[in-house]
Amino acid sequence: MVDLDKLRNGEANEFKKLTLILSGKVLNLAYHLIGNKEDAEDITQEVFIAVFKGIANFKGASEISTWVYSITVNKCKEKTRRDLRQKRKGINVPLEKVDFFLSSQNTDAELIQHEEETRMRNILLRIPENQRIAFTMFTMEEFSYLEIAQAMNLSLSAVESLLFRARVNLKKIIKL
Amino acid sequence: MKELEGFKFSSRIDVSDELANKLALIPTGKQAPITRFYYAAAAIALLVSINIFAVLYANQTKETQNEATEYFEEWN
Repeated sequence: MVDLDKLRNGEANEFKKLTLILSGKVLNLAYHLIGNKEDAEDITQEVFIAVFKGIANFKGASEISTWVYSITVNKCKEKTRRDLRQKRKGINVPLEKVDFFLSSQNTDAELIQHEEETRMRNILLRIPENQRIAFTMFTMEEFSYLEIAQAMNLSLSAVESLLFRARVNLKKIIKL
Repeated sequence: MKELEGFKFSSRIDVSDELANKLALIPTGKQAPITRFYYAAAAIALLVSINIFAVLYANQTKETQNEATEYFEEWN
């Protein structure tokens, strides 16, 4: 793992190490929360700029990775709210935009999975934001309950409750 | 749609070379051109104001010296 002291001292190599370790997970988290590759890449960049600027103030109370994920979640929330504001102002922002790279290499299973994920993402837009984030992180299978809780700045029981309510709401919507 | 309980967001995207390069630039402190422009403008403004103050101070000192010389000449 990375050396926090070296990071705080602004050592470029240590920061590069951090980006190499976490950029993939940050990118995919943003991708599944936002549903668009280009936006996810922009958010990943914003996240690491925020990490670089804020590392001196990071006290190390939690794992650095969960701190980075919490920044990612907040950046995705900001982006969603910005898009919603623009939509209210009449600026056309497709909230459900999802890109997928269709090529001859995509197997049938991948295409079906993509279709499932697109449908789920559209359904998820109809449930409250925190439920959507908790459900998305949980179903990515890369985040533990503890990581989800720390990234969302919530207790473990609050995350469990969010996931329960998300499932109840999703079942209702799917049955409609 | 699959059963909700079994649903997973399993697709993954890779970090592109372009993104990796952008991330690699962050710790080197390379700033965006617009930021560099602001820094350059601020530096020029600072130099100009220092110059103006220096000229004003030199003029004032010169004036005081002249007054003092005149005063001593009259006194003598």
